[in-house]
Amino acid sequence: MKGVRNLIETGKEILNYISRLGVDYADVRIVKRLREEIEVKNGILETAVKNETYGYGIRVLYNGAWGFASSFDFSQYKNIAEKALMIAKASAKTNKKRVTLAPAEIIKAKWSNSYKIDPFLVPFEKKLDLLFTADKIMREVKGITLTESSLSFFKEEKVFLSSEGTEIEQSILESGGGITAYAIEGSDIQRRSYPNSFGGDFRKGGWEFIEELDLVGHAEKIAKEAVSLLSAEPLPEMVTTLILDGTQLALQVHESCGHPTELDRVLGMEASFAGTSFLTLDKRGNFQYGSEIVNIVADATHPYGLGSFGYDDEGIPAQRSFLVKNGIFVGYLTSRETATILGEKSNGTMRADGWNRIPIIRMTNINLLPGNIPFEDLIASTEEGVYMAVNKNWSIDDKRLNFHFGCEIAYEIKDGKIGKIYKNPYYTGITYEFWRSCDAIADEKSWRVWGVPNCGKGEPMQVARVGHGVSPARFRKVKVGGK
Amino acid sequence: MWGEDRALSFLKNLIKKLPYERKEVCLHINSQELTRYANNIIHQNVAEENLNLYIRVGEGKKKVAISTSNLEEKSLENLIKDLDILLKSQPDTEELYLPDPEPIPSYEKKTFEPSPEKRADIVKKFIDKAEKNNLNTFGAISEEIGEIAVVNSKGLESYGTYAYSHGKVMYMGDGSGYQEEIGKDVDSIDYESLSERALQKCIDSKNPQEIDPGIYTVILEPLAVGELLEQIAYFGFSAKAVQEKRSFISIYQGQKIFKDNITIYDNGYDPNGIIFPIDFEGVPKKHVDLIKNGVVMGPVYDTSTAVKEGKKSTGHALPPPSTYPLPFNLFFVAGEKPLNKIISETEKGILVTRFHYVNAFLDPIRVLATGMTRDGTFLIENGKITKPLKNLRFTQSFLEVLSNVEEISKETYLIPNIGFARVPAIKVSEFNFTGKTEF
Repeated sequence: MKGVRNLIETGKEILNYISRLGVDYADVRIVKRLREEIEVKNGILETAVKNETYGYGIRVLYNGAWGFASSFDFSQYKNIAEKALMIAKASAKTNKKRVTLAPAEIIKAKWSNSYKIDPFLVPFEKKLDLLFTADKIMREVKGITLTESSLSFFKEEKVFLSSEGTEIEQSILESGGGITAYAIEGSDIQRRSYPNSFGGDFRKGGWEFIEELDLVGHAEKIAKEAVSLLSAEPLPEMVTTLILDGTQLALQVHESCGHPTELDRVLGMEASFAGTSFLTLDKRGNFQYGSEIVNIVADATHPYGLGSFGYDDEGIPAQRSFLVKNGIFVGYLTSRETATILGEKSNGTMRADGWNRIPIIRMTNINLLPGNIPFEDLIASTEEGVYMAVNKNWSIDDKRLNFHFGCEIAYEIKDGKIGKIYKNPYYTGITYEFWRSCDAIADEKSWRVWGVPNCGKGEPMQVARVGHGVSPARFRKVKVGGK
Repeated sequence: MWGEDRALSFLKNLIKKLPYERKEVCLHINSQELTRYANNIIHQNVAEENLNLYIRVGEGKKKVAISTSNLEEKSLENLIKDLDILLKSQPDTEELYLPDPEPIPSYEKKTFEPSPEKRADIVKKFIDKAEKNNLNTFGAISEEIGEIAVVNSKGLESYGTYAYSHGKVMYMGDGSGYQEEIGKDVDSIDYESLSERALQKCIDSKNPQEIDPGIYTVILEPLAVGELLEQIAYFGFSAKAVQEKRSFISIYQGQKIFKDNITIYDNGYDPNGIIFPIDFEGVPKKHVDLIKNGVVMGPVYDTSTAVKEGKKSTGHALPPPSTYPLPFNLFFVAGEKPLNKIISETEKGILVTRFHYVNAFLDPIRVLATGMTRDGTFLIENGKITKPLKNLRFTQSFLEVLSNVEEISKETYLIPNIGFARVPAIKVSEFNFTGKTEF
């Protein structure tokens, strides 16, 4: 890969050209991404892929309207800049209102996240040895019919330059991995995953995180659980007390708090695709989103959160702000364009999926702050209920009210103790009723930021890497069942 | 776009530099533009030019893939070095299977220059219609042209192009209405009809009433049928899912589990869809019957899954890292009755315009899905649409839905899917609504 200095120089050349075209505002992002994906499936190396992508995107405001164009071909930057302007002129044809950007500080900075061991320098044999070992242990459990073990590494170098004078260089390094064991009997598919489903857990950091996960040490346990689920009863339909583990609660926060607080959704900018939000402007500061113990922040400054960064893709510094405070809905995720509607400055959540897409409002790390009860006491103080773990399916309506989540496994809780397992568990409810019923959140000992590397939004579709800090929490009177 | 000669010549030159027993190089170049509008203004308007080079190589029972958008010589050299390390440091597990060369059928090569001005003019008409009715309009119009070229060490040299446009329009006031369609280009979509249909749904869906969840007869309009088909196709129609026993085809192949009226196939050359001539291994797309007169057929194969069963690829490979072949050009065969006649013959039922956030990971074999209705849900009583309804949640096996299809409409629409799908409306008995929301 070229050095970052070269990226800055290239960016300046492009920006100089656009600035001469007479635009109101312009920014240029140059992004290089490197990925390594390895998957072992049933004893076979299913995937060993390295991917590099490199290009630039130019965003312009002309006559108060947006245009954006991007390309992998740097020799064509003048044509691409002119195309961005031509597109902005076409946008301006229909627009009766001019886009206004909230003021932003001019920044010249560099940022990179910390890590100990660069995973791209770890020998490939070592990675394979880990995956094949975990895979073998899972397959040795009688009844396991399919196994998946994977590692994923992501490196990004990007520069951002704006016509206002901002110049930012950022380097990002992320690592993740996970294992899944399937027990399939006829039409009954049961699976268990560690540390999370859909590829495991991901965070800013290096190979040290993979070692910390200890995939091999958890392989036998999850494989045995997957087999046990085949003979377990489906969870009976009932209204009961529900405790969610961190992985599932992370997704609950994602879908029912993260997305509805995106201000572009609230303003209708995603209406025809992903939908809008029940957290309309009139509800800010007075709507009882959850019980008094519910505090949720958007925190892009967390040291290892997958949604952390130094500066967003509009050059705004990473921030930590409350979305829900003592149960009251208080804040949105904003951009420079949308923040002006609130008469505020952007809180820095604009990110693009690579060089070829425009920045849009994305979750950073949307974190449910820890409570004050140890996890063991949370279970011990529950007379009767269900503990659900690890997401299997998810769905929520287009205003983010009615949700339905399925999990891999449920455990009965009786007289403060974990009991038998149930298969195919799900729970369903209405967002604010659910969060208002939250009466206990485990303390910081069981709090951790989970990485979600596959958050889809926008058109063309953009995939964002976001994080959710949570500890397990308890909810009362929840409808559950086991289809 | 590079064109056939430049693309194949580049790949033939590149493949010579790879010192491996089995090798494949694939180039995918596309140009995509999209105009997105909301609240009666264009708020996002973008263009992108993408290039992806995929290289797969194999030696004995070892295989590896790399991909890049960076064709700088030094960068390519470094990636090829990585490829060598990845290949040589792995144990023997499975060889890289490559397809043999075969002729590519002729097809109409469609292309165009995407035009932001033309898209803005269309959006302007949507906005005018919205303002005339005191409504807001939302949606997107996109255009994409692309080319795929593949060369492999078995002598295969394939090249194909594709082009399409996609339009979606939503109106929102007290209610909401939505429609979308795919066309061969921006001019082949009837935007007047599309926007009129969306507008009428928006007007008709004002003041929706609550209805209790339960089991109802439903009429699913094409957009809802498209969602249903996408889930069935993703979980069921891939040979990979079948071989891993995660698909209903692994249980029911050859059995008649649906009524005679259900026929679904995939065909990348059918002129009633979007022509997508070859897959990412350079194999020409084959016609694949997936369900024929109620009998479970299929699935679709790439070379790796085909070889395991002593078969040939059906031309459904995706680029690496995917190893999961999928149908890209689906057709759900139409019936004979117009949709309005099907509605008029329904004593009591619910008309669904569109589903939202459908997910069938609950039980992939039964394609047990949950999701919501949106943008136009209506009660039908005595053959007439009598009132709009608040949105409902369903939890329903989509295989059961296909088993319970009573009528299929004569009209079909071409809409987005995993790739594209031409689908009718269907009338289904015993559809399970399990929850409701507030709007």
